[in-house]
Amino acid sequence: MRAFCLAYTPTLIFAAIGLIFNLAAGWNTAVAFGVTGVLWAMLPIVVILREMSGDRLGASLAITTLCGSLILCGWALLGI
Amino acid sequence: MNRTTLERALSGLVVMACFLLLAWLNGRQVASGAAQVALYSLIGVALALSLLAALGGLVLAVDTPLRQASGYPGALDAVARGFLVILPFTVLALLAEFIFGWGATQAFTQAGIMTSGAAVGMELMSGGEPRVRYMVVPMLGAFAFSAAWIAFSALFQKVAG
Repeated sequence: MRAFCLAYTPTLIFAAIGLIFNLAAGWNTAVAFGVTGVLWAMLPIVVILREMSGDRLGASLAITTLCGSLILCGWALLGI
Repeated sequence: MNRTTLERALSGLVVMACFLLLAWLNGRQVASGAAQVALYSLIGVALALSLLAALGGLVLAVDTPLRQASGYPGALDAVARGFLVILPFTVLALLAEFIFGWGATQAFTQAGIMTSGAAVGMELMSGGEPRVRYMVVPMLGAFAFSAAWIAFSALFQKVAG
């Protein structure tokens, strides 16, 4: 669980930078920074899932896709 | 990395299908009209395959044990296996385009290429004695790939638009 949460560190960094640009310059940064941050979390998740599944790349890619889709759906529901 | 011929062929096909889809999605934003989108997609896939082949050459140049053990086919297999990571990016790009209507396919493509470059580096690192250049060179190659894709899109838009 800790590894999975840490995989989203890039998302946190991108979101924080996006928030600064949103507040300071009024840019719409939800997609440009927020979604980019989500995308940069994909590789750590693939690596973690490969470790957990005994190097089964196909399964780890499928679960990563599912996780990414859920995050994007949540992002969209929040009102981008 | 003991992989069967079927697994290798499947990896290559999945990567090619992903680039075809990404090129088509990008083409819908860059080009106008079905003919231009088709042309953009074809050139995009050809460019992607050429750059993947070049990346295989780079991998071959830096990884001496891989070169001695399996040569260029082994290097291409490492590239194809690393670039399988582009699959989730392609699915999410389709989702973003057709469900959410964000029109951000370029961002998905660029992030996918860079991430796949890192995945190729990790494939090389896991193959034998890890060295920093195994990670750095595929990342630099992926950066050049990403830059070439942006330049191609800008050029196409300028010429066609």
